[in-house]
Amino acid sequence: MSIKSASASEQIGNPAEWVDRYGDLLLRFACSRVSDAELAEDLVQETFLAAFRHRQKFAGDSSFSTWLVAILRRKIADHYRAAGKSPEYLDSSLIDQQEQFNPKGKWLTALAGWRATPAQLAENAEFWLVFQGCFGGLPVHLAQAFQLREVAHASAEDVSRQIGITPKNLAVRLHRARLLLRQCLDTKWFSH
Amino acid sequence: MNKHAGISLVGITCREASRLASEALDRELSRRERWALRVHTFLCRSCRRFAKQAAILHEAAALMPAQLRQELFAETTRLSATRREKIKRLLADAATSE
Repeated sequence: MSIKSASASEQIGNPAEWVDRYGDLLLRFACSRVSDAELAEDLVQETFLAAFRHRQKFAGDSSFSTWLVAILRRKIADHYRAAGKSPEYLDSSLIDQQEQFNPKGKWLTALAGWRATPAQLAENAEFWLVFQGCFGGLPVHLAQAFQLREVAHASAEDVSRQIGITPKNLAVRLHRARLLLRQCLDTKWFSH
Repeated sequence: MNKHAGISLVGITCREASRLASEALDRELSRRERWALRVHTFLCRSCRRFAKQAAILHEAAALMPAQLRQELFAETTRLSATRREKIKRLLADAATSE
């Protein structure tokens, strides 16, 4: 067992309390780097278990949460390596499940017009329920970007800093999120 | 712009035009970008509609009543209760087996 500063063991605290303390923080990080919610939770779980096994190695030269995030980072890298992909895969182009453009970059289907004003939609609780359904179907990294930018109203700059991605990657994610949400709402709300 | 992504209407494709329309909601476009988007949307109805609809969603989200916002979108990125319990259980097991 290594000699540890009092602050290190203090920071490690009681492992029984880790999940409530750091769980959401780690999940937010995981969700910004993978597209699947279930996978994000798996990675957080693995992180906590690995942290428990190696907790003696935490020396206290960074904060405990930073140390946990570093473990999670490695878990995420391992995941992509095992899948034979790079983490950039998330934001590389042409991976959308439902591609809306042809190879030449033109719309596959022409868009129909919407007859609604933002104010009318905003006040319509039924619309938001449908919206929530569409939102829930987004890959988590896109939902997270949209949520922070459009629902929580953070500036694009703040959002990219908060989730630790470049402004360019954020722009890609918001574009995708808007494409998918627009398409979903078009089918589920506006053409009804 | 990507020279290899088939040029459709005046320099930019619909994919690129829709990306610019989306980015216009998040930052100020450069003069060149604004011009490319304006020319493209002038000629392309679908992109005009995309730009309009993305803006509608952007504004509607901003106008959403606070209560709805809280009910529907407050806790999107939280560990689920079942997962929370599961991890706690696994950690407790690991502690007893040490």
